[in-house]
Amino acid sequence: MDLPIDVADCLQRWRRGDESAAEELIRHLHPVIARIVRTNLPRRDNEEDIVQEILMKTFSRLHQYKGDAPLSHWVSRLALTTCMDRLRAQKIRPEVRWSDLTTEETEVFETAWLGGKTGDGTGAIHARDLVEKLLSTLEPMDRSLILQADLEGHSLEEISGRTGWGISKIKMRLFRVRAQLRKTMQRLEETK
Amino acid sequence: MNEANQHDEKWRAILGMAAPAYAVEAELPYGLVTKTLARVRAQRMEQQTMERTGLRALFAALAILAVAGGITFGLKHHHGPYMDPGINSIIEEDNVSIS
Repeated sequence: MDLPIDVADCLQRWRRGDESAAEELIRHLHPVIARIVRTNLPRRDNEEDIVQEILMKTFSRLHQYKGDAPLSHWVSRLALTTCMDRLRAQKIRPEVRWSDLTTEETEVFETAWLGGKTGDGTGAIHARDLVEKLLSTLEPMDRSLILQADLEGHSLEEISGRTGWGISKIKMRLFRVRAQLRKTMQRLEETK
Repeated sequence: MNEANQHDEKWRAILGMAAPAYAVEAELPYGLVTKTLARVRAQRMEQQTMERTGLRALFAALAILAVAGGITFGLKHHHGPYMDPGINSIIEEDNVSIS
């Protein structure tokens, strides 16, 4: 949710040392950063700490912001890079086996197979855990790409703005990721 | 529906079920603004201290450079004997060559 603030005015005030401007910027940028962190990092990661780390990076680099793109886009890229750096430190699973899933996750998998229905709060968390397991076989950037496209519904242009990649590269990569994801799901079923 | 489509459908269904867990709350986490502002303030102060220290170090280095330059320049343009008169007279008496 974007709060209606005058970003340019806030930045000027911040540069003059006005702390209330920093507070307005934090309130404005928090939803953007929190969404990226929640989408890209596993649930077990300490979301608040990472959001704060990104906010700190934002403030320490604000002098580099030229204003040619909206501030939220500039911050999105910074947030995405931070998440990717964190994910790179984590291991990529070679595959996901049926025995790796909890009972609840297998239920989600079976329910989705039968047509899928919107889960309640707990169901959503189990479904998210399952999504994370399925995506744990992918490269960090591939995970991010597929979630930006399929979960957040971003257009190729928007993803390009966030990642700095060309449209054709994103298209090709998404095609490959979907194929890999199909393979992962197929292998998962085979290990039942 | 072929197998690839089935898997795509299933992926979308799982993602659809998971979507509420990815939603971000409208409210900011308690204390986030205060904590972040405190850290930003500390970071700013640290940066200012670093800048001040850096400037002082730079001025000190420039001063040393100026003094060293002055000494070198003075020595280069000094046409008299390089050593004190006592030593000079010994050198002259013994005809010691100084390379």
